[in-house]
Amino acid sequence: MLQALMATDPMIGFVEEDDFSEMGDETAASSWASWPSRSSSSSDMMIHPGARLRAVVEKAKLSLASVESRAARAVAHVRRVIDDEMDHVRRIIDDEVDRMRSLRLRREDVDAKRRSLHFLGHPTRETTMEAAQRMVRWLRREAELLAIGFSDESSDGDASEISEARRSLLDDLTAWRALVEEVPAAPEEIPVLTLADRRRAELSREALCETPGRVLHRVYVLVGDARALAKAAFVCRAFRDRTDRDAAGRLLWKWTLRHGTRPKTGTRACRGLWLSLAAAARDDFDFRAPGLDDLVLPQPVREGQWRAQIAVDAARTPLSRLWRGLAVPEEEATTFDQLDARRLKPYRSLVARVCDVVASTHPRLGYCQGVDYVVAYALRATCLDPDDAHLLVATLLDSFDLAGLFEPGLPSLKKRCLELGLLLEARCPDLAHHLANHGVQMELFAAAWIQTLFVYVDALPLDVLDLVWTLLLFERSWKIVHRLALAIFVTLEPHVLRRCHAPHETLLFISQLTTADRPARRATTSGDDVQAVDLFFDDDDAKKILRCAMNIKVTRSMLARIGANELLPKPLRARVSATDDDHHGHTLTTIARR
Amino acid sequence: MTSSSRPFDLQIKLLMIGDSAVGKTSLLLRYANDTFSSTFITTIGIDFKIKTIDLDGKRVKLQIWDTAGQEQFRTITRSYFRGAQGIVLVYDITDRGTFNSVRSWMAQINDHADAQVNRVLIGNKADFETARQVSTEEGQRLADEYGVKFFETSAKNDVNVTECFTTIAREAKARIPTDPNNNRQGQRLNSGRASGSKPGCCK
Repeated sequence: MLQALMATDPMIGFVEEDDFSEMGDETAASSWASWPSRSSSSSDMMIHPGARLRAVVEKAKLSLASVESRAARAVAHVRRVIDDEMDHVRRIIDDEVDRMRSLRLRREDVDAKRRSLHFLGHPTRETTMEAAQRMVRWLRREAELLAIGFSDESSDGDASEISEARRSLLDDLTAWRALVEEVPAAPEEIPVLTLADRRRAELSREALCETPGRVLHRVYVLVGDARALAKAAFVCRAFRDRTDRDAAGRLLWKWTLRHGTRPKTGTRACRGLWLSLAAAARDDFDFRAPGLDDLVLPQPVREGQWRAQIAVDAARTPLSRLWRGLAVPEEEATTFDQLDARRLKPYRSLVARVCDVVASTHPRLGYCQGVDYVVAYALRATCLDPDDAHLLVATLLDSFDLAGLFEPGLPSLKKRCLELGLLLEARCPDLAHHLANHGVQMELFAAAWIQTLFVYVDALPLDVLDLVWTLLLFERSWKIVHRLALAIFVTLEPHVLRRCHAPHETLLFISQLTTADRPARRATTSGDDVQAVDLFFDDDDAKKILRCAMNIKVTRSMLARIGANELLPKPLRARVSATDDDHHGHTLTTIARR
Repeated sequence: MTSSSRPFDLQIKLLMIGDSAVGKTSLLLRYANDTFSSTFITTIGIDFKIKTIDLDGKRVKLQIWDTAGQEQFRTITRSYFRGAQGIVLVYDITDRGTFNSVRSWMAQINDHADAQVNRVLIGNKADFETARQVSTEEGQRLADEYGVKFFETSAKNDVNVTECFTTIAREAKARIPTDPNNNRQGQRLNSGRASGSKPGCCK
């Protein structure tokens, strides 16, 4: 049933902004960012394409009362089934938890530094039975999460179909429980009498291990939490095989990172995720690379020509903003928000060190202003570990063509600005016309946005940066950078068109994003007094702009067309874009079925 | 922003150049916003500020472009030399290297700016006397050599900041006819809000 439900592409549902436009802000705003606490309404958005959504909502409203009681029953049932399940395997799990706990402690002692890297690529030692047993624990947690999501059912969306999905999940759980009962707890206890018996035992063991993988897969489609996904892959080989190897697994990751809950920068989970993604992006990425101090540098950095410039810039990179909320390692109670300039000083040497190494390992690039911003944000993401930050920055520079943005002549920057200019023309023709009329070149703003991967844009909340960096690393494409830049322009467009009648007004308005001192409170949200920073003020604005960015379609094929000097196709102008890179049968159905 | 909608008689485009970390942004923010912070951040690419002043009975809107000092950004900043009516060249009196670069900046101006552009030389950070590496006389001598006015300023203590901007604005104003029709930019700008209501540019 779930499969039938998901027989429509959630991506398409998300991109067709127009389908949501009549829904009213609240429905359209049922955002992935608020997961998992509102996972039921988010699931609605996820499961239904925009076209069906309106009809479905109408239906749901009519049958709300009955839906609510059914939902409550279903939740109770999920809980009961899972509790039974837990009784059955409690003893095994207790042992397992102890073992995991000691394992984790040991690993922390031995290899604390690289630990987070391993959660996507943990060497496989588990037997299939062990995997299945661990799966029980994960299932329970995630199902509880689901139950929480189900219980705050709202009137929006098609709740009855959600409860269908729930029942389908429940059926799987029940079937799986039957399997667990059928198979002895440990493989060696199977009485091997005949070949047929043995085969039957093997078969049901396989089924036992296969089923939770499938069930869990479905659970994660609904939960949409990148961290839980990574953890499940860590503890369960069957699930890891599923998510790492096939297209559906990658799509599950893609969907979760785009629309689900991502780890925030500054957490170990984020560090592990980003470094894993970076590792996947380059062949020569070596987790055991020598630390910065051991690295034999091709040229002496201390006396290097960039040393002075790096020292100057590292002293003024806005660390307290970029490291906001990040706790100082030695003093857990303090965060960088509260550190004054004097106490921030020792941490600035981290930025300088990483910039030094980058400069000497990238002789063509050397050091260019803007790299310090990228380095500072990479340091945030790697919890101030300079080795990891260097690996991350080096990957961005080498494998993502970030170096080309900074190298003499700024070759790639011109290309990116050209791309963005053409995309803007396609997406916001009025604004593009307005900017051209006022002689405002794309480079003027976009250069700094793109070069620093938006870190330079003071006005953007850090949540927005997290998404862009995560997706850049995951997609290995500049699409997301363009999407965010376009989303910024889309947000600014009505205001620029309404109030900026002269070139300098346009310039001033847009340049506020990078130079404004953030006011303590929003001045006003409407009328002529609204300032560009007001549009990116708080968490709601962050969600709004992220939603906008995810609604804008930029594909590899569009960028390829631009690269080949072809005009963008007409349909794009109407935003009915054919999306080549999402065309590989990548639908949620695929995720759920496999 | 409110000042930008008031009518003005003349618009002058100024460009601030000079080595990295000499205090271009500090000077500009002192002049335009009357603020100073010791933690100003690096300018990446180009930044932009507006200040409207009364100059000899005329209302003059100064459009000031603040550029990134580092060599790599010249590809971008160079294109803004053209069309600038005044150029503010800044060095740091506590860093001889930035003073030595003045000649190469002057060459840049020759190569890329309009021939008649007005220039002014500024030695910034004059409040930091103990670390001084370039004497006032040296600065003055170099300015005389190029036939431009010279100021030693302190963005931190607000010394000479207004004076230098007013000077360059006055020099440029004397050169540019106030008749908007002779000024390509003024033509569009001087009509201010009125032109904005035309569907042509905002539709």
